[in-house]
Formats: sequence, structure tokens, C-alpha cells
Amino acid sequence: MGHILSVENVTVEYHGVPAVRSVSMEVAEGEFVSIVGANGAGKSSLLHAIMGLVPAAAGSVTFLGEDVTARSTESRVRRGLALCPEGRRIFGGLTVAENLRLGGAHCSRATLEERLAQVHELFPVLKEKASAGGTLLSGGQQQQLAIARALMSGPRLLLLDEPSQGLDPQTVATVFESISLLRERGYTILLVDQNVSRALSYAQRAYVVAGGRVIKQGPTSELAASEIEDAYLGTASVL
Amino acid sequence: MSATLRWWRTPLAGTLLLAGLLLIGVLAFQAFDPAGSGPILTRFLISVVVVVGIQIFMGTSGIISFGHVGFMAIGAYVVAILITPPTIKATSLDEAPAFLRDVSPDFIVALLIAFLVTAVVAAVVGVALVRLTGAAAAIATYGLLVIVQNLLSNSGTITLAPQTFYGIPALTTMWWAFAAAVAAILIALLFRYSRSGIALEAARADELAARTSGVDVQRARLLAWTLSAAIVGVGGGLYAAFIQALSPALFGLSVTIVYLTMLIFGGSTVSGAVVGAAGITVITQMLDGIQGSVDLGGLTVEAAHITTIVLALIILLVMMFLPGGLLGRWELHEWPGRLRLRRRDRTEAAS
Amino acid sequence: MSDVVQQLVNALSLGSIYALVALGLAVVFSVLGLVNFAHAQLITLAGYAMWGLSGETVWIALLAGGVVASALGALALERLVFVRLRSASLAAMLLASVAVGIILQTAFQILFGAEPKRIDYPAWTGETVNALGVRVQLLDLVTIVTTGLLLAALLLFLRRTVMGVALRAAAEDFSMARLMGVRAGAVVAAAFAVSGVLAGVAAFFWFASSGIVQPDGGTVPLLKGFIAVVIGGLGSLSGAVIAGFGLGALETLIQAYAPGSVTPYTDTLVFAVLLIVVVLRPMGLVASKSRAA
Repeated sequence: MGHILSVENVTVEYHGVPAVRSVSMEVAEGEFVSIVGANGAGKSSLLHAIMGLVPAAAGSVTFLGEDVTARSTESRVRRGLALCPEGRRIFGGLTVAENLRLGGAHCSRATLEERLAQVHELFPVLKEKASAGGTLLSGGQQQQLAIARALMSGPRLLLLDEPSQGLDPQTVATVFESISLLRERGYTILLVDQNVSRALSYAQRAYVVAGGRVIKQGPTSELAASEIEDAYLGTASVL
Repeated sequence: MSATLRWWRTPLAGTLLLAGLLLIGVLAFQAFDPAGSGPILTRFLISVVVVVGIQIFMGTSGIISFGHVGFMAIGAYVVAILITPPTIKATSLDEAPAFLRDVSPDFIVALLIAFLVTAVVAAVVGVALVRLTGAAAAIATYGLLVIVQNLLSNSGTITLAPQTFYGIPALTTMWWAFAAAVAAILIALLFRYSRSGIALEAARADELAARTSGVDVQRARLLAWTLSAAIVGVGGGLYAAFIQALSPALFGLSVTIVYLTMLIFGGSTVSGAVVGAAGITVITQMLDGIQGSVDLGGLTVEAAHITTIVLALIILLVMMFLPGGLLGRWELHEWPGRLRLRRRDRTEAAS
Repeated sequence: MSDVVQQLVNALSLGSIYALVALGLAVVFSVLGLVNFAHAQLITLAGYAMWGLSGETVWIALLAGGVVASALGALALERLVFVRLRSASLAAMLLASVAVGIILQTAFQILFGAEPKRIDYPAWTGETVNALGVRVQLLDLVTIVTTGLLLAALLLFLRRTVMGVALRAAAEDFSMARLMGVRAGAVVAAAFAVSGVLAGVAAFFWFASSGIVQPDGGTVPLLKGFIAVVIGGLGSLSGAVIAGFGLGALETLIQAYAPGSVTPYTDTLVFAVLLIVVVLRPMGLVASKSRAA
């Protein structure tokens, strides 16, 4: 099985302070991979480095066989990487329809309409509220819009950063239903979540991150949630 | 504990260091050029007063002000009106109130009055202006600069505008300017290490955090703004008694930019203000060596234009390649301590 | 009655120019966070382009020449200077824009001299017409109508085109827009182009009242644009337009009805209004919702 994404020894620094230290990981076509870890473990920084939102101080990111380390964020998106960011970051000044169309703005008109239809089928509420302002949606609807917006670019790999953040348990359940639907449709997904047992139950493989490093990795069947939580609660002893 | 009780020791040491360096520089330049150095050095030392004054607000708060040269203008006209001999004022200010025509205070008293007047004006407009940060502050203070020019130009009875205000006696000697520069440095360093100075430093790093931990950021900012304006006002007074003739056009955006370049080139600390003023003065002096005009393929370029363009290019290049200025964030007297700390860190890391 | 209509036309006409300048500043600010002091020199540049076109009888060509000059000027500034300051601090960008402005203004002095140059405006700009039984300047009517059309066109651009939507998105959250595949360079270039076009149109009408351009010709409209932008709430496009018209109305009121001894202080009064607004509404009168959130 060929890897579509491989991250090699990537380091991310903020003002000289490392947030990600020499991390390597891969994702294969059709896989569902989770990254788990405590707050501040470096999960989001790693996703940002994959997307080119922060520069990698060292290491490389290869996507679909091409080294994209020096590429801009937008060109990575155009190559098939998409990130649904933490906190959703819906454009409040744009309507739901505009939020979606922007996601597919670099595609042909026909492709755009086709994807819009797919997304509307996945999330019917977005069709109903097409002309509403982005921030007038409920939290759960905003999360659906954020995911749908990321899908509009037709990603080969979808990165989801904390999709459950700030949502009540019932809404979280709905959101994860949509995510498993995406998995069934064959999307390759890299999920970041603080909730270890949930992240493991959806994924085939997982990486456990603490202190900016990968401290454990493997098929989820071999990783017990309790053991992982112990591992990153006791970060100091592991390091 | 003793460190907090004698907190003024650090600023005092810093002042002595900078004053010593200034003195050495002044004496060296005098020895190098005994005849021509006087006016150049006086002008430079007045720049130090103005730039150190601006530093008190901009350097500690991190907020850009384009308005300070307006305070310089106010200070300049206050001193000019006060110290011009009543015999001259009898004709030049014949429409002004009688007491302005008749007063004739000592120079030092005139400078103190300039300090107070600019402080009051700054405090009044400051109540509104210190609410602004970032781009809004820059725009509003630029508005202030234009407005001061507008008011001075329309107050011909006391400023003689649109004519030049004339007859100001040449009271600013080099040593007056030197004393004022050292005083400005002392006040600026005392402020930097004072409670308000530290509050502004904290707010600069994280305003919300500073506020939630009980720091009255706006009060500290207003204090910095007022003190800063008053010192710049004194600088303006010295300037008036140095060039002896004033017009509102002398106090515009292009002069503002020269002073801001000095501050930013040096690195926005008090030491940076002094070093930046020296550096830019040297560069302008060298450019002033170009006499008259230069012919560039049929295009006549005046020397003054070359100076302007070079200064603007310096700002551009510093902004692009040296955003922290020459000295960065640290005062000169803080360097030995910093080097010691760094060495200790290194030895600890090694062990 | 006729006096009121006359003043209303004056207010709308002056407000149109201020709104165009303010909007040009706000477009760039909303995307880049840059307060562009060199906007004044873009206006002046358009003025000199129109002076260069003197003898041109078709007024639209004169207008187009000014617009092209300032739009190209804006794009050149972005490519040569501001692209290198994309990740710099606000202060660095601001001072750099002042520096560029000074360099351009000095260049104008060297190239064209300090004395004003006369722009050959078509004769109709000096004529008056009868509208609703009131004699008004034809120039004022054309200013108002052109500004109205331009604002409508800009609104369509922002609502209906991909680039317009991308601009609005980038103004709200630049890095999120890039995560949507929006090209950063293209959006920034579009913002500068729009800003330059607005500066050019503003220049045409601003210089028409005096008929002359000099090296610092753009300074006064820039200051008015700045004040409008702060009153309207930095980054808010609608706020900039509304405050621009408000400022025009305020100045016209002062000029028309205040005693003669007060009129030289118009700018000071306007600034006092700015200070009052700042005290009462630090985020501006029309605070941009997305930024406040």
C-alpha cells in the first residue's frame, strides 16, 4: 500500500521554542488515522506544518510522491490536501453558499456543481440554509459546514482538527456520524482528537504525541486507550 | 528586597553611561572640527532630546505616534513668544495680548513653561488618544500633527503665520542642549523602570493579561504620553532658540519621519534613541556635503531631495531587514548583565 | 430651500470623494492590516497622469488615464515593497508606507517641479445646470453619479465574483482563505488594484475643483480618508463609505453655516469630532462585526 502522505523528521518552532520535534508519520490511501495527545502536545502544530501554515524548521512533507515542504498552503490545497481547522473558522461575513463555493473556487464550474450536490446530500441542512450568514448556524451546523467546505476542494487527504471542540455530546455524536459516513465513502482521513477512546474507535492506526514527539504508534487494535492516557499524563517519565 | 528599594540605581547608572558616551562623542567631534562642529552638535543634541522624548511613549508602549512633532511645534512657539525681546514683539506681535508682548522671562523659565503647556495640551487630547493602539493610533496621531499645523497657521496674531516668526534670540548653546539631552535621558530611564514603565512593558507583551492582573494600562499610557510630549515640547523650545525663526511648515510629516527613523534605526530603547540620533545625524551630515544640485542625465536633483530620499530608503531597508534596529530591545547598560546571564545559561546547559 | 438642496449636493459630492479614498484605504487594510500612507501619492500620481494627458478632449479618457496610473502604481508598490513586508509588524509596514510615500513625493518634485501643474479639464466641469429648479455645479452631479455607479460595481464584484468573495474571506481570516486554496498573492494584488482604481477616480474629481496638481496634492484627501476610516471602524468597508459621506456632510455644514471666523478651523473641528467618536466608540461607529467577534 503506497503512502499518500509522509512526514519525515519534521520540527516546528515558535520563536526558537520547539512545538514539534522530529516527528515522522505516514498515511496510506483510504486509511483512517488518528493523532492523539494532551493539550499542547503539538498535534495542531503538526497539522499546520503539513498544510504549510507554519514553516517546518527541519524535515520534509511529501504528498502524492511530491516534496511539498517549500510549497505554499494554497498550492498544497490545490494538490489535494484539506484541513478542517480547530474552532471551525467559518467566514461569518459570507453566506453558507459562499463559504462552500470558495472551497471549490479553483475547480471547474462543472466539478464545483457536482461537489456541491454531493455535499448537500451529505449535509442537507447546508442546502436549506444556503443563503444564511455563516455564523448564524448552530455549533453543530457550523462544524458540518466546516467539513463540507473542506470537501469542496475534492481532497485526497482530509485533516480534521478537533471536530468535537465546543459541542455538546449529542451534537458530537452527529458530527462523528458524518465522519464515519465519510470513511465509508472512501475518504482518507487524518483525525486529531483529545478524546482518546473515540479517536481510537474510528481509526485503523494511531499516533500518540506528547511533548512534541511521537511516543507510541500502531494499529488501534494494539493500543489500549487507558495505557495511552497513562502515557501522556505521565509525560515526564516517558521522556 | 534592597533592589526594589533602590530601583533608581539602574536608571542612574544607565544615564551616566549614556551621558559619558555623549560627552566623549561631543568632545571628540569638537577636537576634530573646532570651527564647524558647534551648530551640528547643538542640532544633534536637540534631536536627542526630541527622540528620547518620543521614546518615552513609543518605546515603552509600542504604539506609533506621528503626533509628537506637533508638541515640538507647540513648545517651539511658546518659547519663541516668551523669549523674543519685548522691543521686537512690540511691532511683530502688535495684535497679540499685551502680557505676551511684555513678558521676558529667563530661558530656563520659558523652557519650563513650554514643558507645562505641552503637558497640559497632551493630557487633554491624550484622554481620547490613549484609547487607541495600532493603526488607529497612528492615524489619529497623524491627524493631531496636521491639526496643530492648521491651528498654528491660522493663529497669525501670535505665530505671525503665514509669515515667519522672527527675532528669537540665539539662547540655545551647545551645553544647554547637552544638559537638556542628559536630563531627558535620565527622565526616560527613570520612567522605563518605574511602576508605569513596567506596566506598559507588560501591556505591550499582552494587554489583556496585564489588565486582568490589575494594571491600569490606560493610566500608565496617558502618563507616558504626557511626559513624552512635554519633553518633546522642551526640545521644540531649544530648537526655536537655536534656529531663531519659525514657521508651521517646519513641523510636518517629513520632520516627524526623520525623528522616527532615528528612534527605530537605534532600536526604540533610550540608548537606541541616542545611538539612532547619532547615526542618522552622521548620515545626513555626509549627505549635506553634496552641495547645490546634481545633474543626472539632464535631470537636476537638489541636494535636499537626495537627503530626503536616502533617509526614506534607510527606513525602508531597516523595516525590511533590521526590524529591531541597531541595538534591539535592550538598553546599553543592560548588556553586561545579559551577557553574564547568557554565559551562565551556557555553562549550566553544558554541565 | 434652494440653498438646502445646493448644500446637499455639495455635501454628497465632497463625501463621494472622501468615501472613495476611505474605501481604497479600507480595502487594503482589511486584507493586509496595512495603513497605506502612500495612498496619497497614488492620488497625486493620477493627477500627474491627467496633466500628462492635457489636451485630451474625451473626459472619460482623462479619467481612465488617471485610474490606470494609480492602479498600476498600487500594484507596483505591492510587488516592490509590501510583498517583502507581508509578515512584518504593523509598525514596520506603516513606516515603510510613509517612507515610500516620501520617496514618491520627492520624485514628483524632481520630475515635475514644486510649482503646481494645470490639468486641462473639459469645459463642462465649470458649468452649472438647473436641477429641480436649483442651480448646481455639473461637476458635483457627475461626481455623485460616478461614485454611486462605482460603489455599485464594487458591490457586485465583492458579491458575485470568485475573487470578490475571496477578498471578503481574506479580509476576515487570511490564513483560512489560503486553506481554501485562495492564492494569497492574487488576493493581495486584487486589493491593491481596487485601491488604486478608487484612488484614481477620487483624484479625477478632487483635482477638478482646483484644476491643478502639485507634489503633495494627495495629502489632504488622504488625511480625510484616514479620519473616515477610523470613524467608520478600521477594516469595515461599509463603515469607510458611510463615514466618508458623513465627513463630507460635516465639512459642508461647517463651511456653509458656521461664522466666517470658524471656517479656517474646519480641519480642527473635524479632528475634534474624531476624538469624540474615539472616546465614545473606540471600535468606530460601524465596527466591523467579524473583527469584533
